[in-house]
Amino acid sequence: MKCKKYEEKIILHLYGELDEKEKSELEKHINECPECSRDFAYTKKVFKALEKSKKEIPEANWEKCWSEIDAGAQKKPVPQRNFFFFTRWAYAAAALLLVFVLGAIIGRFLFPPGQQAQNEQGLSAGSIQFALQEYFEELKPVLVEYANFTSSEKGEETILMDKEVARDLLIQNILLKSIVTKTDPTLAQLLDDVDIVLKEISNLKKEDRQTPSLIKELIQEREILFKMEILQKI
Amino acid sequence: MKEEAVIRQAQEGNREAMRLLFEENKQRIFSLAYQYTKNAEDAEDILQETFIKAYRSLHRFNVQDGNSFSPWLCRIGINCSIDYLRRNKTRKEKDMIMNNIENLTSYDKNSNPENTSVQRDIREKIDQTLNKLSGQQKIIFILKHYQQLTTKEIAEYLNCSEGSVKKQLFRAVSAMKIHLKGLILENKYEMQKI
Repeated sequence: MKCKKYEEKIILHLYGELDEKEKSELEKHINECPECSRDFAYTKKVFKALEKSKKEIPEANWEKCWSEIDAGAQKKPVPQRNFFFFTRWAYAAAALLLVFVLGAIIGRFLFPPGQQAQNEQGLSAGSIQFALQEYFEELKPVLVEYANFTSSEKGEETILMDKEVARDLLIQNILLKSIVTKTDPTLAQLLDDVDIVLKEISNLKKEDRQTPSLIKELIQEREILFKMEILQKI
Repeated sequence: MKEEAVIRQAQEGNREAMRLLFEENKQRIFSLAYQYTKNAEDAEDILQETFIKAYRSLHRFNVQDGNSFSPWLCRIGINCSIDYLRRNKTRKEKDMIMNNIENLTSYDKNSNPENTSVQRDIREKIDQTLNKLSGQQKIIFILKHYQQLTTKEIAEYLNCSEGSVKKQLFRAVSAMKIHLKGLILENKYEMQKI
């Protein structure tokens, strides 16, 4: 059985991340432990293989890139909620509504009373919808707060509280995502976006002033609140 | 000129200052995007998207707190890379198949064909393993292995603890060790030649 502690240290050593004391402790252990010594030799081979497999980075067309950036930075950002975006969501909303209505009608004829269609996890469409509504109710205030964030706000206590809330929501988000992934890709995509935001919040540090602005940008760019609103209404 | 002064000028819309920031950081963002996408055109797109986003939100960057521009830009670059790959997932999958076909049909005429084939297998295995890693493990592995940042710098770039970076890096390298085992320990493969 390899010594777990040293297995990690071997990798850090090969990356040059150990200080002198840690290095000599590791070397001493490798000399005494045949299994770690074998692991060290094998890890070195893996590092050599990784080194050899490095592809050369090609040269980019820097001038072309710069002129695109220069032009792009001068332009005002295109409003995210444009006509095509709205119609796409409106179509999606209409299609979903139609599926629900048809499902309800067909369900009444095909299944005897009390017996409802269930998904793979044994949850009915109704209970998923209910869970989703409940989840959005909890999620919305957190997102709204970050969407309206201004630089002077967040104190240490608030951040700690946000992190805790975000972690709880993250668990719910993962569960819901696993339920709807196969049946509703649009919703799964939205939950994916929420996942990124919640992870950012749960990794926030009190001294970090930039991340809340990035979170704000993320929520706005991906239209998360707008999409949630539409899904809540159908 | 000090970075702080350059950023202040760029915040006021000075294009020369913007160009200076681009020149200082372009290689790092491009190689990060290239390692992530394995495609030069995609990497150029990500580079452009990263700088455009950064310049548009440059007014929010706080120079006073001693924040460094490079980690901030790199975080935008990381988000852009993850996003870009997700947006173009289907196309990327097709490209990967084409790349594999290309790799299978091309070889270096000067080298031993047996070694070339092993190299190709190893490279393919490394790419496959990279794609199996979680988003964060993949980016940490790229930043450490290809960009050669220290774990401390990576922690700063990703806004997480150094301990967590070390753990994720350990997991990523362990995955490489497991997946490359068969190929590396095969008798035919001469390690001193790699």
